[in-house]
Amino acid sequence: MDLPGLLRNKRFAFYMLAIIVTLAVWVLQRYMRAAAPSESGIVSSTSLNQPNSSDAQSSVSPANSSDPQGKAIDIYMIAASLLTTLATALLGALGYLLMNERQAKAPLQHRVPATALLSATLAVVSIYFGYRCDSNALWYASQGAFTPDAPPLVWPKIAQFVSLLLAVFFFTDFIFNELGTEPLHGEHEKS
Amino acid sequence: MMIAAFVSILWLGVPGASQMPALAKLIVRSIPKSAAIMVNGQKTGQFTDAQFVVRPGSYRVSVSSTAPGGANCSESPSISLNAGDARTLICNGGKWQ
Repeated sequence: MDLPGLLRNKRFAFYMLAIIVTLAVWVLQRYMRAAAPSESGIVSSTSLNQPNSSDAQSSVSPANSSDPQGKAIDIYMIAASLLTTLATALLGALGYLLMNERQAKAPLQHRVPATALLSATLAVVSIYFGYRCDSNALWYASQGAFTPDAPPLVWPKIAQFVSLLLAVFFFTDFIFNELGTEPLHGEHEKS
Repeated sequence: MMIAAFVSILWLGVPGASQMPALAKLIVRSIPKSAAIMVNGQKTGQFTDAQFVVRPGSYRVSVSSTAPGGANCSESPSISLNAGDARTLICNGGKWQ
């Protein structure tokens, strides 16, 4: 098997990247789950003696969130949803710019800049961790035990934010340094 | 290659994405309230009534209070919790219920 030749095949490289990113996210998730905050095995704790605290057996309804826990859930979910929306918008903007570039005077030919690819990949990772935030928050809310500092809620949110931040960074690099530039290495548009 | 990528994303991503956290819930109550809670011999900083989100495993709970007439229960028998379990312990009259 001609591995260098295969790697030059952009489709092969793209799917290899997808597998690698999936593996990396999976390993990161395992690390998040394995990180034990205390030797006693306690992830988070909540007092049930607070005024207006929900009964431990009842679930918290975000739609009727007059209590502090309900408000915390609302804030958490709004932030996660906002970041997911931003990541989705970034993906859309990347796609639009790449399509436009193909029709421009200095098309990218058969090359997708690494910065655009990285930006898109990180945006997808951010969207995925936004989904994890939603799943974990749903579990905590259903148990009536939502605490914003619980590791299963903190780590996906940090991962979501950092991956979106990196996606924006590479998107900016793509905009300023790749968009509209002449193709490199003798690739010229055929007139 | 396309199939390999698709299968790997499904196999690794979907189970991981659809899984709820592998956690359990432990509720500790006492009559009267406001007794210090210890779990597995370690202070938790919480007072009854409180609930704990814990990793699956075995736990021994004790509560103690210095107040006159406060709740005091020695270490409970080991409680085994699996993912998704919810267990309530009530200390009443010096005994666990």
